[in-house]
Amino acid sequence: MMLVFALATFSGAWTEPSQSQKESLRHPFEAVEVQGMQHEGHAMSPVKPGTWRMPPMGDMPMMPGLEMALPPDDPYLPGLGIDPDMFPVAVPNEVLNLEDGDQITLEASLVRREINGRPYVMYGYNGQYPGPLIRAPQGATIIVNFTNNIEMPTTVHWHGLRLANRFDGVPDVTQPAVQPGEAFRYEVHFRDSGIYWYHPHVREDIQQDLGLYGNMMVASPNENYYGPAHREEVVILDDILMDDAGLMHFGASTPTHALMGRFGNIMLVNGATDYSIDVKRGEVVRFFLTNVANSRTFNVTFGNAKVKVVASDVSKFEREQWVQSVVIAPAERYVVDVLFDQAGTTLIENTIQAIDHFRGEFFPHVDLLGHVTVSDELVTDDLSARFGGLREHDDVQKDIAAYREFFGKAPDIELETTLRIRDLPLPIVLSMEFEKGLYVPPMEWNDTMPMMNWLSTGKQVTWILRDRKTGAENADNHWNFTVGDVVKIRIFNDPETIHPMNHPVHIHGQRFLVIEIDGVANPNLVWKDTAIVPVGTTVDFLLDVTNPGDWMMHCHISEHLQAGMMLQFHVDE
Amino acid sequence: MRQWWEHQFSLATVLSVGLTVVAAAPAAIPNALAAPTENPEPDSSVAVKRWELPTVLPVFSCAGGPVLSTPTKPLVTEPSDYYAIELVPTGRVPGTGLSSGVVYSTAAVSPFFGVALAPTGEYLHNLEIQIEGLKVPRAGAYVAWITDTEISQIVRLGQLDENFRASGQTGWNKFLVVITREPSMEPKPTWEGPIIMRGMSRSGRMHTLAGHGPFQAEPCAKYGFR
Repeated sequence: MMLVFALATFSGAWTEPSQSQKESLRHPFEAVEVQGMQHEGHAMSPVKPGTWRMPPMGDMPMMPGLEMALPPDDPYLPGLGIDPDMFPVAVPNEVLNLEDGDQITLEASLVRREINGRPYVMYGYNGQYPGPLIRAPQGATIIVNFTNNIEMPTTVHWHGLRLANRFDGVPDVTQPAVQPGEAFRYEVHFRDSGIYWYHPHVREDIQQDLGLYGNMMVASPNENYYGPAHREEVVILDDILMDDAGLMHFGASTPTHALMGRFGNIMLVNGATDYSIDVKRGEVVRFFLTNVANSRTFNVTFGNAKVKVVASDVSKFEREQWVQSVVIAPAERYVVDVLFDQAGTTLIENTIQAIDHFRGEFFPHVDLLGHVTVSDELVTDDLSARFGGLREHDDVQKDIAAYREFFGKAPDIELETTLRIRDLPLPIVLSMEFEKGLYVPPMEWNDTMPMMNWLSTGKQVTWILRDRKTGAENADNHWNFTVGDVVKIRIFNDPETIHPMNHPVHIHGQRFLVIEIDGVANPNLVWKDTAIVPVGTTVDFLLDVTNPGDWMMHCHISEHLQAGMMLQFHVDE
Repeated sequence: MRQWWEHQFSLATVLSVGLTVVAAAPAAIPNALAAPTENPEPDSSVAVKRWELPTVLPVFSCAGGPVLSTPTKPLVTEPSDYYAIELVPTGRVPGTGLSSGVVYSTAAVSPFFGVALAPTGEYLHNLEIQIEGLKVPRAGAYVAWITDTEISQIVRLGQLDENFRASGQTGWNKFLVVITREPSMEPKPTWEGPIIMRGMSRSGRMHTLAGHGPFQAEPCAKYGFR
């Protein structure tokens, strides 16, 4: 009933609510008065439904010349003007244990979510947050009958899977976008074991940010694929941007936050703010981490617990490794084993050195992600001795050995990252020129310039992957490969552009190794589908071309992708 | 109607922005959490690189018009020298005034080849010091040190070798590299001899926007600066 109402309201096409709708329909959760101005010095009108509100700025001063500035687009939120009570309450996700040949239904729809006790209209797959956890054995193929019941076109991209090209979920490349009310049948094949995820490939900056994501866990037939652990926890890391009046608007036709991507100010783990688990002393917990944030890279710490990294996107590492924290960029996955051998509470945190560009300072910053309560009771099956060793993964080493002859080859393709800006307000340009001449960090851990970032849209910013030999940019690149090719792609993240930033680069439908960074060989390899390229670094990917079709390579910061940072390549049989 | 800032402008106006690069930031610098190792073992995996010395002062691009981008550049295979640190001689010690040097600062390799960080989030920097034009001291030794920008914490990186090179690692956000001529080779907690060269990390150039760029016309005192 609710969905019918929603679809009727949005009439099959994604259209922004009319001005009269905006003005006449009261959105109860946007009408909450903000105490004081969003920001001292900003001359925006008081909060009204369907109008822009500037993002929270902390104690950062107002930038002169931007007192009246707004993004050059209409503001957008789903369900604007509709009582959230009209939408079904989203529930925590279910686990779907599937076998080869099984069929499931997957529906994208508007849902009511509660975050920190307040309701919001967001999206969900099957009315859940996150979407259902799909568990299947390696080698299986399942059928997903997908229906789009949100108010804009969408698709489902099966991130990291080397599946048949026509099911990759890229609109106008592998399939037409699924219009509201329409359906699409996906055949999803699980070639590799590990942790993967699914999400839209249309306006990810909105759809993914508002809840359209879920995990897939693909089980190896080898029972000892991973080392022993007492339990497994699937953890999806995310953030969302809101203020006292609710969710911050998105751009209706183009993303806001095009310079740095949309950083949230509320941390979400599995779609909620209260992630916690109880364990016995001595328990080994295997965490399957996925970062689905639009732009934020997390530095995940587990207090004083012992942590070792086991696997990443498409395989295990060549050998396990002790770590003190896990840096995970958007769309990356890491599998880490954690031993909780001290009774008490262990905090899972995002521990970073943030930057205040106005004051030119670093400052330590910690976001709480969750709690692990460790009881005094000792676990009966003590795994600490086995946990204390680091396993060599012979299967991965043998697999990679066949590619080592290609490590020293000259790059087949050399890319650089840059951007082009147009019609940005002059104060923003002045600030960018000032800052980049001084210092740009290798990674952006926080939104160092919320006002500037918010005002930059995909209309004004074009992010570019440029071939250094031909000068071809983004979609003008037409690479042709053949199954069996091994391609070295060198990417240089140019620090001398007007606004350098780190880029998590994702390649669809294939797998690759990060073999070198700045000429230093990687001593512990792992098959990836997404890898971070920090500012000022040169990173060499070795692409294993195994899957025919038309595929994408792009930055996985949602706003950078929407601002053009994507290219395509073709693989012949 | 177009806003005033939407009209074409020349970035030559940007060049009028006054810049002062200071060696010490006005506020406190977080303490180091991963100190360099004393006399670190040479890392054979870090190739010595011979890049050009970096430009010290920021240079603004001067492209005019409303569309800004970086033109295609020649192919390079070397890492960027964006984070390299120029060592500037003090001229205080005979035989050192004509020296030149650079500290190549690159991200340390993380255990799982992501971004290498200290547990509290600071970048781990590998440092390769290369100096030319020095004369061998008649007595004592040249020693490399790292200090925070307030010189409140000092760590001895190590003695320069016969080729006037040294290496190490730091986890400080902002730091200075200082080369001194020490009267003896005995390791000390801080330098006792004169400073012959010094340089500041690229991050040390990060400077408040107060008084600069769009804040140029505003009094710095408004934001607590003098």
